[in-house]
Amino acid sequence: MVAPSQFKQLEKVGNGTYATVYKGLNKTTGVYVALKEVKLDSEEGTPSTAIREISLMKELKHDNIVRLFDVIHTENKLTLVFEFMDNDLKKFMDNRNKGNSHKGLEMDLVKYFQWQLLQGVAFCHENRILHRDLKPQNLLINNRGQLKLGDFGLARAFGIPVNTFSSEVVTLWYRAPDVLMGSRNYCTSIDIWSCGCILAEMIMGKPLFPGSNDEEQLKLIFDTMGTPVEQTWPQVTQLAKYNPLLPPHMPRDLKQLLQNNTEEVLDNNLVDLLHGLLQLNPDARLSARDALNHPWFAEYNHAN
Amino acid sequence: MMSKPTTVDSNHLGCIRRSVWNEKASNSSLVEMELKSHKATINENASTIFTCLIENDNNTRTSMKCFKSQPEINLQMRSLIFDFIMCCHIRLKLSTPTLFLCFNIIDRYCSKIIVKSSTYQLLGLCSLWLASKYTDKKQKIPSLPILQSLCCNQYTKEQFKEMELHICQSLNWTMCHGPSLDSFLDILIRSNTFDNGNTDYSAMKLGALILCQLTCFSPSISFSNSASSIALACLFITKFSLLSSKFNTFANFETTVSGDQLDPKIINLMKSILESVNGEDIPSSFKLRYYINDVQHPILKSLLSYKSSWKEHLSRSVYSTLLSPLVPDYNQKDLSSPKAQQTESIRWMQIPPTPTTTPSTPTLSKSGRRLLSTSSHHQTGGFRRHFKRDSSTMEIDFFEQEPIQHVKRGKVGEC
Repeated sequence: MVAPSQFKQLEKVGNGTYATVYKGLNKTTGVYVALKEVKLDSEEGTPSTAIREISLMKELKHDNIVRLFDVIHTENKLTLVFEFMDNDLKKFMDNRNKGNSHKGLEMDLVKYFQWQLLQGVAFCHENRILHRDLKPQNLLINNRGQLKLGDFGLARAFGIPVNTFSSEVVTLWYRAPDVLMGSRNYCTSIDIWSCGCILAEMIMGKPLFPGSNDEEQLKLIFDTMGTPVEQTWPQVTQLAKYNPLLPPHMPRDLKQLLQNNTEEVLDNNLVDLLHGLLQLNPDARLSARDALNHPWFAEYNHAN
Repeated sequence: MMSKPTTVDSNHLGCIRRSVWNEKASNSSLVEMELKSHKATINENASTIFTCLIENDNNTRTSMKCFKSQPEINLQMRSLIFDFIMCCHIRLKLSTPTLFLCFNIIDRYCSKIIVKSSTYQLLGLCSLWLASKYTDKKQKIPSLPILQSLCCNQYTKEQFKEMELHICQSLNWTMCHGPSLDSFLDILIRSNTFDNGNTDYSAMKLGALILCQLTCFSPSISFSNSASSIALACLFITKFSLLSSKFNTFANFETTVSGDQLDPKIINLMKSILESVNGEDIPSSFKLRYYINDVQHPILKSLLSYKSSWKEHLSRSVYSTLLSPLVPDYNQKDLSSPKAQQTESIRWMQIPPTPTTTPSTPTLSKSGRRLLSTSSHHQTGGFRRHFKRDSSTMEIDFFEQEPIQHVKRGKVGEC
């Protein structure tokens, strides 16, 4: 058991979904850690988010997932001791934008980050865990260019039976169209959609679908990806929040759209991968493993 | 600058919206589509998920030996607490995995920490609380006042919170890693062994679920068998029960086997499970859940009638005197090895080939770390039989009454 006095609390790093995060220093080892403080004084005892996050993170040990070292209980709070990461992808990208001009990341870096993101996601899915809140803020990076999934406050183990989860998951901009239209049977495909949105965002330096409410979010998605019809997505009209009055749109040229927002030269493999991740029909979306085997990652796959 | 999207909804509008969605979402073709896509996703990851569940199972085994060394609590109390918890679980309408996880947390805590009889019920409720926080939707998680009312306000809020944290710490925060019998059922039921095209999934699942829940009440079975082999044995019994009631005959699981021969270890486990099923002494919570106006649910009925046909068959059989099979030999060496059973259940799993590059039959990795569990405590077939409880107190008003007569009122002691 680790004594709380072992850590020196330094500056505040941020606010998680249900907690405050501080930078900390392990006084015995001299190693920096992230201290996530969860208040316990409420009526609900230990928050369910903390219980899920701790349980799931204890199970997930992978290079691309932030490590949970310890849980310390003191008086009326819990402190989760995480591996310290220097930055998150959102801040990392924001630092590159000057004023209103958006600048994406270099293609090599995009590929390296996306590869690590998909590795982490594949590991979660193979351990029957859905992250459910993938977004640049939750992707932590360190000075060595490593990217790790963090903040499992909304994550869940997906049972084998059809679980009807709540449809209020994943920050709006990264939320899959099937979830937006009320599908309760989302599975691993929900995280894949977010991976697609993040890939596009890294290229463009700005979010792909920045909607401000459910309706606008769907509109933005369909404007670009085309309005789904029964032929392209069987049973779409049956979804609880399907709107039959949606104006029909043809899919736009994704390559052109991205190319307008980046100075890098985009290759067709990248666009093909992006299409695989951003399939409107969740059944047609790639799995994380399939995505890792995509030709765009050939250099990584051949290296092994 | 883009501002972060926010949604502000009054509760009332939210309720209306939810009820509209729920109505739309119950559309049968939609449900069918959702099931289909879910099955596809599961198949894609079935082998890795199965390996992961087996590992969880190995790491979260409970120990009969440790339980027996508890000074204040015993197996009879365990059965009462389990019954009480299952009643609460039904009352609160929690999900199935919650119940199995809760039972696992209770037993694991008791395998590690000395529990006073006065806090056993508190342990049960806190385990249910934890399991529900992990598995259920937010709206379903019971609140502290509700938990308090379930035990007639025997314990203070502080005691609940303290016990909850103590469980987490004692189990090193892995309290929610327990194997869920129903996850194994769901994977196994879709394997080639049970899926022959015209399988009635819901009947199979429900039957096996009832049996799995019953085995939780039978310490001799639940403490010394892996979750995967219990799930497998329960599915086989259900299969033969449904077959028997369909053709109105007795399909003997020891002789009538289509295709593969059943493994003797699984047959022995099936015998012990059947032995523990007793129509006259079914826990009260089962009456609450599986009886409607005193009439048994048809699946439960077919399971019970299968049990009596089996008994009849045994007594009529010419060989019965030679084999003396009424009490299955629990001390058989093979049966006591959970690892051997797991290997067996993997053999039966036969996951349909998946498009991924991973081998379709998962292998046991890192399964060496299983907790001590021996088969030396199996002298009695079912402990429940020795202990009659008053089922009249378990009616609808069960929770308004003193739930557990045998547990003394008291404060949480240091555990």
